[in-house]
Amino acid sequence: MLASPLEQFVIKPLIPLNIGGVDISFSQSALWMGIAVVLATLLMTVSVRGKALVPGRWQNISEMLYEFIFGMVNDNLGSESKKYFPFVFSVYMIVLMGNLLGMVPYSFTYTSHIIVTGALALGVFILATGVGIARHGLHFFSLFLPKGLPWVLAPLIVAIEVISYLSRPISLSVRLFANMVAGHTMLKVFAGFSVMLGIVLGILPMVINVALYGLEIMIAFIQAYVFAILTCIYLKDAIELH
Amino acid sequence: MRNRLILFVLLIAVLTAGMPVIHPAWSDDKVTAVESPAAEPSATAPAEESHEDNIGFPQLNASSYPSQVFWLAVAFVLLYTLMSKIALPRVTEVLELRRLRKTGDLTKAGQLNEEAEKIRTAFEKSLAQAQKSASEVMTSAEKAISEKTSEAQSRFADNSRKRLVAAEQNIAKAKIEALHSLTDISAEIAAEMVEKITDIQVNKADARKVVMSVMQKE
Repeated sequence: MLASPLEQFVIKPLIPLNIGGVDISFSQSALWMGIAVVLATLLMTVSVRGKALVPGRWQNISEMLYEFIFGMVNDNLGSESKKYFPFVFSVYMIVLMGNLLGMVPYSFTYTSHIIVTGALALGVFILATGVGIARHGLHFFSLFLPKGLPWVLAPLIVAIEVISYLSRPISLSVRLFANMVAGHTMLKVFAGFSVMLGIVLGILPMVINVALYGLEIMIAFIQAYVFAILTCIYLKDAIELH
Repeated sequence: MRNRLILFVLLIAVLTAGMPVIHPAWSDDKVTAVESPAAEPSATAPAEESHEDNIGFPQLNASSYPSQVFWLAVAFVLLYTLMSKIALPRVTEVLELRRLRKTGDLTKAGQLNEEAEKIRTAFEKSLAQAQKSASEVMTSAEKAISEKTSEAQSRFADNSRKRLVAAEQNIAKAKIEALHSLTDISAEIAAEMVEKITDIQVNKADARKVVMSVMQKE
């Protein structure tokens, strides 16, 4: 009778596309990624078009986002911040937009797919590692050997550090993915309760759902922030090597 | 502690997300299950319901992975280009403009303040000068007044002394005149008396001599 709470995550191809035997159909996931890019760009350009000395509502939002991320990048990367700021900002915006647009009814949350968060996290991981190796060469691998470590402990600690380093993209992607899936599934479940219990009794799950919705919006911001700050920290590790 | 937590997450991640990658056959089974519900034992049920039952966990359906990764890459590259080339420089410009304007205003305010301070000092200086010159004028006026007063007083004193002297002289003169006339009268009276008593005609000049000698004797 009722749709599964997981049905909202099903990918539905809108424009079938196949290149070289690989299915790269334009799905609703891709559509919402496109909407996110367009909205983020509109927000960051149209709002500051007036170049107002005293910012209005929208310009204030743009400036707050800019200064928030710039402050974060600057705290972690210092003099290198100018170079990596657009990257961290783009990562933050694509995650934030994915999370927030997912809160719109009938939309699709592309950050609720492990492959999307995984690809993003892997991109961040590869970039950070690449920066580290390009900057320090083989010396980069001293990252896995903390200074002043007794030689007896070295093999164990190095193993743990390597595993910890390699698990970074996994923890980064699973954190975001799990939060989004859990939140949206919970909302769907409570919405299902409302439908099942009818108009009178259904109000209670609806009230809970309203509260959950607020919580989910907060989580949308927090998870985007966490994703961005971890990106900063990984880049910092690659640049400074502890 | 942190490392152990990460190891745990790694384990979970491998068990969930990694599954279709590590065991493609497992995810392929799911995909075929979705695509061909007729192959399922529950094929007797209506096709739609069986489809709902078998959506499984859509995130693990590896058939959608290439398309999602491809479009994510397109979207991210597009977003990065738009942000780094167009959007962020504009916001930077606005913020920089405001910062410059602020510091400019602050310097201007500082300059104006300095100027005001200068004007105040000048005003205080001129005020002090005015007070000084006013007090000078007052002192000189007082001095002039006191000079005039003392001059007038001394002139008055001189005048009155002169008049007093003149009056005294007049009085002395009058006294002498009176005395003279008194001698004459006395001589006349004496001559008259002698004539009346003795019937001797007395010379006026003689009588006068006698009176004078008597008066001098006294």
